[in-house]
Order: sequence, then C-alpha cells, then structure tokens
Amino acid sequence: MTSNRLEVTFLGKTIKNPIVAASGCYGYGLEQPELLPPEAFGAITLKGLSATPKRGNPPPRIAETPCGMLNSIGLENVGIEAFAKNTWPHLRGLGVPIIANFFGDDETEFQKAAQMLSDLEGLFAMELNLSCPNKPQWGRILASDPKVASRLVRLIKPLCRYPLIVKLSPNVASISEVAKACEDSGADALSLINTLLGMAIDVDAKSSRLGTRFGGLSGPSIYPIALRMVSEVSRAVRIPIVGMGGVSSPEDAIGMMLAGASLVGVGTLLLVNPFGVEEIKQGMLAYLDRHGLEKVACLQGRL
Amino acid sequence: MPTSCSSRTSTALSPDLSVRPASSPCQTEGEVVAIAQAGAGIFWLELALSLLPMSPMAGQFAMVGFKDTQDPLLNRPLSIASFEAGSTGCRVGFLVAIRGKGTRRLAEARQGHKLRVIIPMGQSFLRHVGPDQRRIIAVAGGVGVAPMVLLGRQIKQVSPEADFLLLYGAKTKAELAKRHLGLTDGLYVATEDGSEGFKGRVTELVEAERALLLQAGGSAKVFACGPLPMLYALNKLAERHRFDLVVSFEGPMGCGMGFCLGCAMENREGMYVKLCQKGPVMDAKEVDWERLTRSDELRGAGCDFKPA
Ligand SMILES: Cc1cc2nc3c(=O)[nH]c(=O)nc-3n(C[C@H](O)[C@H](O)[C@H](O)COP(=O)(O)OP(=O)(O)OC[C@H]3O[C@@H](n4cnc5c(N)ncnc54)[C@H](O)[C@@H]3O)c2cc1C
Ligand SMILES: Cc1cc2nc3c(=O)[nH]c(=O)nc-3n(C[C@H](O)[C@H](O)[C@H](O)COP(=O)(O)O)c2cc1C
Ligand code: FES
Repeated sequence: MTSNRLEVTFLGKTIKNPIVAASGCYGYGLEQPELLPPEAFGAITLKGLSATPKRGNPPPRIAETPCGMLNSIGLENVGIEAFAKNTWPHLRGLGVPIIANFFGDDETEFQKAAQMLSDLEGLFAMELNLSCPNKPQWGRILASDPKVASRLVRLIKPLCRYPLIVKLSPNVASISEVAKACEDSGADALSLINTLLGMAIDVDAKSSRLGTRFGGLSGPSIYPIALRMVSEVSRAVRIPIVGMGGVSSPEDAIGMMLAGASLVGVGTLLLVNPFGVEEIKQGMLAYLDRHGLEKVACLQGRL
Repeated sequence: MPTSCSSRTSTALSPDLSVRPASSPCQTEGEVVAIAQAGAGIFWLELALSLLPMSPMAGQFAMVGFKDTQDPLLNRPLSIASFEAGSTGCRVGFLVAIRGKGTRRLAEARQGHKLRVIIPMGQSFLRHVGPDQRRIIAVAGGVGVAPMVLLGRQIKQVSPEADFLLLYGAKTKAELAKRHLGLTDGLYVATEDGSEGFKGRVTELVEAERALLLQAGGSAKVFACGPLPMLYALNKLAERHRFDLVVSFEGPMGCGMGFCLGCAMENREGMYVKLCQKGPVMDAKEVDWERLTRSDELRGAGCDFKPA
C-alpha cells in the first residue's frame, strides 16, 4: 500500500517516507534486495566511506548487552574508489535518495573523501561522521569539542557538491553546543545520535568481550537518551534533524518526530527485524488515522 | 499451504540442488510445534513457518530470535537440521546446545510460541559436492552435527553415487543426539570418556579410520562442523594426509544478513570476509588457520584453545 501521507520534505526534496537506513546497518544498500528492498526506505545512508580502504578492528566486533549491542567494527570499508566503480552504478538507478556517510583518519583524508564523493553523480546528501567512537587514532571523538567540530565543518563544507549533514556524538558535555557550532559553520542538517561509548567484560576470560577495549552502544536501550538529545538540539538549531538511536517501533519513530526530527534513522532494528521498517510505516499511518492527522509531516517538532 | 515469500522462489517444493545457493532469505514467523530434549544440554526444536522460504541446503543457517522481548535482542544463528515442505505447511528443525541467555530462553519455549525466523542464509556444503563424488565423510563435534543431519538427507539428490558416512564425537554418551540423526548405517561414534563407541576425540577417530578415506579411490571429501579446536586439528590431519576438507564455522554473528560487518573473519590473503555470506561453509584452504587460532578470533565459537 502506498500513500503520500508519509511524505516529508527534507533539504528541499520530497522524501516518500521519513524512515532512513542508518549508516553501518544496511551495508551498501544492495546486500538483501528481497528481504529488505532499498525502496522500503525514504532514504538510505551508506556504511561509512573513506578516501582509502580501511581494515576495521579485529574480531569479535559485536557483543550483545541488555536490550542493546556494542559494536567495534572500526569503519571497515572498501574505499570510495572501489565503491564508485563497483557499487554506485547499481545503487544510483534505484531511485532512492542516497546519503553517503564519510570520514577520514586526519583532516586531509576528510577533505579527500569529501572531494571524491562530490565527484559522484546523483547523490542526495553527504553525512560527515564526526562521531565514531571506534577510531582511537583520533585520540577523541571529533564531535566532542565544538571548536574541533566547527573547524572541520568549515574545512569540508566548501568541498561538498551535495547538502552536508553532520552526524553528532552523544559522548559530549553539551550536544546542543556542538550542534550550534556545526550550524554556524555551514552544516545543512544534523543527524544524531551515533553510538554511546561502552564496554562489556567477559568475567571468566577476564577480558573485553570485543576485540577492542570499548565499543559503541546502540539499540533500544539508548532510545531515551537519543530522544532527549534530539529534543534538545531541535530547540538549539534551525536546520533539520535526522533523529536516530534505538528506534524499534512506530511509537519510537513518532516520538522522534514529535521531539523535532524531520527524518527518523533506524540502525540496529535492521540487524534484528528487517520487517520493522514496514511495521513502522504501517503503524505511522494507523496513528495518523487515530489522531485525525493528514500527514506524518504534521508531527514534526510538536513537543 | 503457506504462501511463498519471494517472487524469485519457485513454487516447486523439491530443492533445486543443482543451483548454487543464491540465497535470498525471507523473514517469517516460526511457531514451535515440537521441542524436546535430544541429549544432555541439547534440544530439538521444530518450527512451522508461516511463509515458504527457498529450500535450504545443508550447511545453510537461519537467524532465530524472539518477537516478544528485546532482551536478548539479536537473532541467533542456527544450522538447519531438517526441512520439510508439503501441502500442510513447512517445517524446519534445529538441534540446539544450551550456551547462554538466548539458547536457554529458546529451550524454555513451549508449543505455540512464535519466534522470528530469517531463512535460509549463507553458503552450503552441497556446492562442494561433485556429481561423481564417491564418498562424503562428515565429521561432527557436539552440536556441530546439526547441519550433517540435513546433509545426510540431501547428499543423494546431488550425487546419487556417493555414500555418506558420519563420524560424530561428543564428550559423553549422554551428549549424543543420536535419535535425530536419521541414519541407520555409516555412523561412527566417538566419546571422550569412552561411554559409547571409540574412546577419544572425533579427530582421533578420523585418524584411526583413515582407511575410509582411501577406500573411495582417494576421491572422498571431508565435511566438518564443530568447535574451533576440532576444526583446527582436522585441518592438520587434512594437510598431513592430503584429503579435501570443507568446514563450517560457528563464529559469532550480528545480523547474519551482510549488513553489519560484525562477523568478519580473516582469509588466507589477510582480508576480512563476512562469515555470514562467504561462509559459514568454507574450503579449509581459504582459511588462515594459524592466525585464526592465534588471535583468538571466533572466540565465541567456544575456542579457549591456545596452540602451543
Ligand atoms: C552459522 C552458525 C550456525 C550455528 N548452528 C548452531 C546449531 O545448529 N546449534 C547450536 O546449538 N548452535 C549453533 N550455532 C552457535 C549458536 O549460534 C550460539 O551458541 C548462540 O548464538 C549462543 O547464544 P546464547 O545467547 O545462548 O549465548 P550468549 O549469551 O550469546 O553467549 C554465551 C556463551 O556462548 C558463547 N557463544 C556466543 N556465540 C557463540 C557461537 N556462535 N558459537 C559458540 N558459542 C558462542 C559465548 O562466548 C559465551 O561464552 C551456530 C552458529 C553459527 C554462526
Ligand atoms: C554495526 C554498526 C555499524 C555502524 N557503522 C556506522 C558508520 O559507519 N558510520 C556512522 O556514522 N555510524 C555508524 N553506526 C551508528 C548508527 O548509524 C547509529 O547512529 C547508531 O547505531 C544508533 O542508532 P540505532 O540504535 O538505531 O542503531 C553504526 C552502528 C552499528 C550498530
Ligand atoms: S553478521 Fe552482520 S554482516 Fe555478517
């Protein structure tokens, strides 16, 4: 059943529904065309890409925690060149807006990645990942300091041919301060939250349950934190927000929109319950009926 | 009859085993129709699926999870041990060893309980079987016997000439899930305490019964599934005695669908590959065994094993 009641406008474009695949939880969009077709989403964010291929972290890379999971993937990716050659030609034709998430190990690499992605034809937007907790070589999460975040956004923005979404980290003292700094530096939109830095110990082995010491926490257990942060940031900035973190039901997605998100990202949900995307969309329509609302866009920022 | 969930799925119920497993899994609901103790710490779980998936091939797995709780959150990978589709519906069977939170909760499921099932996933053993294969020797440790149950049933369809032998090891007689194997002959059992069959590890049984490999004119292939130390030892034997070895890994997985990169395993070229899509069944020659065990990768696979 298709209906334009789920349509929303984001960065000047009409998006057919507000559900976006979060980076790193839907691969490069082509892994499971039948189980979870790309067309199910309003937009798709790709696994983080960088100018050169990255190996990622040693296994184990996943540890389940109560109502959540830790990951330490470490941004393994094929590199933008291989992506452009092998994957992009197949993705482009799908007609689903594609957001390319990207990062670098240093400023030059960030710039290089922004340039390389700008050379692709037909992207919808670029998502600057300032918030991955799995890259110790940065010494810190870039988005934890408003000044560092601002400097990077200023450096990157002029290189971007597509709208720039900046992805924020929850591992900060004040997320609205960082959000404001990014807006002032030229970000077109924000996405939040990335994972929360966490840890799990195997007490019998007396070691981390991951191949690294720490990992990023995602899934239902982080939803209340994500919701609070989206709500806080939506009052601090005027640019639109992709809200994510633990969304796993229609109610969660509606809550995100009420808190101020224009689009709702789903990550861990896709790893567990690919049907969840359809369930959310159907649940949203039922909610609209129940509340006598015409369109899902009416929900945005009501709180 | 359940409706087919995939436009590409043929409506024919018999598996087309000539094609490579171009697995396009589907997500469905599995209602518990049978659950029973199969051995000490092991149970048999049978689900009626509400959609008809592509016919699974031996070695492929399903991701099974809970619809009524978010703790445990992730689906658990389980090898498909049996699959039957007919006019009354479609049933899939698993042999499950109780390990932690998820498998313990599964063991508590009762008839009528509804689970989430994504099926079938990964590569199968069958694509390693040639049409003129004379003999397949399956080597299983513990619950690693699960995929061999389906293999025993399907092998004849792929290679009518082949005979199928199962060398099956467990710690004790109580831990053998013999009732569910569906084998009358060709079964060789090893128990570490000698309470049934050969006394020792299944890898020692392989060594002792090496003649089985030669009888088939040297064309026998060995397919194995079990704990990492067992696979490691078996690979040593394969190198020494020059037989073809194909293994299935039970490493930890996040999604099983290729989305998360959580199942990365290093291959011979030192590249990470996705175990859920490249595996779980792999040619032993593609595996970097030394690194695998040294770096304690696949720790989740029960590897408390440190090679000297
Ligand atoms: C392709 C594949 C097929 C499998 N087939 C079967 C099968 O047919 N029957 C069966 O019983 N099991 C099978 N397994 C293993 C099964 O998935 C795990 O035992 C299960 O996920 C553990 O979940 P848990 O919640 O009970 O344990 P957890 O709470 O997740 O972990 C408890 C303990 O089990 C260990 N563990 C975690 N993951 C695994 C793993 N993948 N293998 C072994 N130990 C693990 C942990 O290190 C920990 O010590 C298979 C795994 C894979 C990857
Ligand atoms: C396995 C995994 C891989 C991820 N990879 C990336 C990534 O490459 N880039 C990024 O910006 N965020 C990445 N994330 C973070 C998610 O996009 C998302 O922000 C976070 O998981 C919170 O949402 P969720 O609870 O719905 O998963 C990853 C998350 C997971 C679980
Ligand atoms: S388990 Fe998620 S990619 Fe293999």
